[in-house]
Amino acid sequence: MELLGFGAGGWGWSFLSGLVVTLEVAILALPLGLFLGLMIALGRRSKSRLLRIASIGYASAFQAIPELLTIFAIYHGCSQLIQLLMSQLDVQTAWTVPGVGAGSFALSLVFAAYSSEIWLGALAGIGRGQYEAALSLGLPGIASLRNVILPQAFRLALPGLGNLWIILLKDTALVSLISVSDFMRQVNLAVAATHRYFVLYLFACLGYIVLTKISEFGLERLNLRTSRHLVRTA
Amino acid sequence: MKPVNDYKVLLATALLSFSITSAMAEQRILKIGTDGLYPPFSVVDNAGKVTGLDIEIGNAICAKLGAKCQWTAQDFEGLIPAVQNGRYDMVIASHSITDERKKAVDMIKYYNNSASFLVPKNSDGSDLSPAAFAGKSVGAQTATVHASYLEKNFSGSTLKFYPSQIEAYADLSAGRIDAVMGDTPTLYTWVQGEGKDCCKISEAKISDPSIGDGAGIVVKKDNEPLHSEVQKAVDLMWSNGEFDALWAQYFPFRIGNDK
Amino acid sequence: MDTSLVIENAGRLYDGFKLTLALVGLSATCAAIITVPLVLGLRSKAWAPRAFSNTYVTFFRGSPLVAQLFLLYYGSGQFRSVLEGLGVWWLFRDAFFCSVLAFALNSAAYTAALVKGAIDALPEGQWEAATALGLGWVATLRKVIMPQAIRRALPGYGNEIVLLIKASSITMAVTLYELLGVVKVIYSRTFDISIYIWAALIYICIVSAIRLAFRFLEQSFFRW
Repeated sequence: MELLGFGAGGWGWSFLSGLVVTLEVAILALPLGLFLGLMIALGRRSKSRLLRIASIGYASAFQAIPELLTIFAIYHGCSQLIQLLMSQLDVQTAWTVPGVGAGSFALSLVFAAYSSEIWLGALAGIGRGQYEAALSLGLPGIASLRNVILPQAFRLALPGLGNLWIILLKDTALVSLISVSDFMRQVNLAVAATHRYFVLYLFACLGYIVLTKISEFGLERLNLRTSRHLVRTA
Repeated sequence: MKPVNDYKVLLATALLSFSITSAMAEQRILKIGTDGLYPPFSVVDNAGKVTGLDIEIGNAICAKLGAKCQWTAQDFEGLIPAVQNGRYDMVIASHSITDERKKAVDMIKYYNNSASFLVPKNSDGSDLSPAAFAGKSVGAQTATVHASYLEKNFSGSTLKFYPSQIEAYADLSAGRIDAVMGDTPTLYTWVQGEGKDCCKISEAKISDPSIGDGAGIVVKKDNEPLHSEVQKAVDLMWSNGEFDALWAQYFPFRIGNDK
Repeated sequence: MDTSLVIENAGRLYDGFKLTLALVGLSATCAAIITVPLVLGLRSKAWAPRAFSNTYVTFFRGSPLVAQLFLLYYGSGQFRSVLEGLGVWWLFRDAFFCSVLAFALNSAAYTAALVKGAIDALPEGQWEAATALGLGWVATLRKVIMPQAIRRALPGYGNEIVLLIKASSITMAVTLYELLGVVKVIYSRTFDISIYIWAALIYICIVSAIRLAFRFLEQSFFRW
């Protein structure tokens, strides 16, 4: 217990800072992941053949490529790309993609591919009448999407997106392999210092289980809130 | 030393890491990368601070350059690419100096090194020929000269490559592998502590041109004046006995720095 | 795109590819075996097997596979004498078997939840009809329930296999260099980023083949 505590020999603070980084990586991946996913879903419903093929191509590619590969490629590739661009522009720079940024970005690309499926289902679940009603109100395309379709789609998508969030939380453990100081890496460091393999890795598993359980609980509450209007109170 | 404060610093840097740090500090800052899982040269403590012999050497060099060292510990394999694309100004992680690496980066020798095997206590460590390990399994850290040496010469053995030395030690003490190849000083530290009941350093040492000529500090190609500044600092540390004094805090034996 | 990098390393890449397939094939088979008692446990009316199965599923679905793999591989190294006493050390000693075990235990948790969901989704009438026909519990399960449940679970199971293929890339942390591990080694020697793009293409091909196979399976064997 001393090992996990906050005392002089304990790794408690280390683990806590790791948990913060884990959450940071996951939360940073959300905005782009959700937005890009929605764009891909809209692309797959588009009338343009090219857009449809590109969107389906993106979604199936990133569902097939291992997350770890995406993370490695972004982490090493983006820095190389920036260096190349900058040297073309004759700008001397030492700026490189930080591990947290690279990890989040890579995971958001993967999240987008999976969330596009959820958005697609949600958009299909909204009655044709809603589109027609928005149209007859004279709302332009973007406005009808933003004010009429999306709020409803979000409610339908929420359970599926919640599952993806939990998968995302667990996938963040992979960024420890590019030395981001997330929870998993802090556990690895503690293992290296103390050689308490079994106890510490068991603790790591339990730590993630707590995170996923809290998420499940939170998502359930959120679900209830967003579908409040559907529940008839006697 | 209050670990809480270090934790706060760590937190703050973590939160800020997404924004580009552009403010020019008053003092010159040198970003240095190291391994972090390579006792006693670099280890990360429970406050997230990197410590060890490589860090003390680096800090002494920084002091001579009127700079402040900013340390980051990361996987060994990614260190040289990180210097190449400017993530760090230099890397101090006991890299062996080889012709292959010198093609990619510049290296400044800071001490002589030698390679040995770790073997179980009851086994014979006087013969490190490939024939003696035929049919056995031998481990080393990925992307090290030891890994390349084993790959080239030990085709009759099962080779296992680990992300860091630590995992290789774990598998050796669990009996999953029969030997670990590595730098003698780091192996020495392990058999003094954690591995003292199970294992020993082979009596024989390995000397082969492919193992490299000493350990080097890694800087980006043609990064002047940093390269000559660091070279000068290292030379000074050897001539005024500072290096020996630091080394003696970790090892009872001396090591040289032949040109 | 430059193909010389792939051609030069074709042998290594092929070895990595074979290891990926071996890992996935063996893990999926073992997972299928573990799934059966797990599903029975999840659906059991008795308290103990249900609690055990639920805990199992929560544990393996709630934490990252990489943490489970480390726990099993490096954790087991600490209990060598105990495991030797039980006569199972040979299994834990080997990185390949250890990885297969970790993947199988993990995958079984997901598959069990999937199969349970598929069985639960079948109308109660199916059971009642089978009972009315005088079929026993085993016969009902085998002849009536499972064919329908498998058909429902098949697309999800296909996804599970794809996830296994992707997950197998973490074994590089325990010294097994499968396809992505080999690719990473090539990158660390050449610093040529295009090898990652080649790797991505190879994975897309493998996964597409699996998806096609499952679609074929769904259409040909369960066409009724």
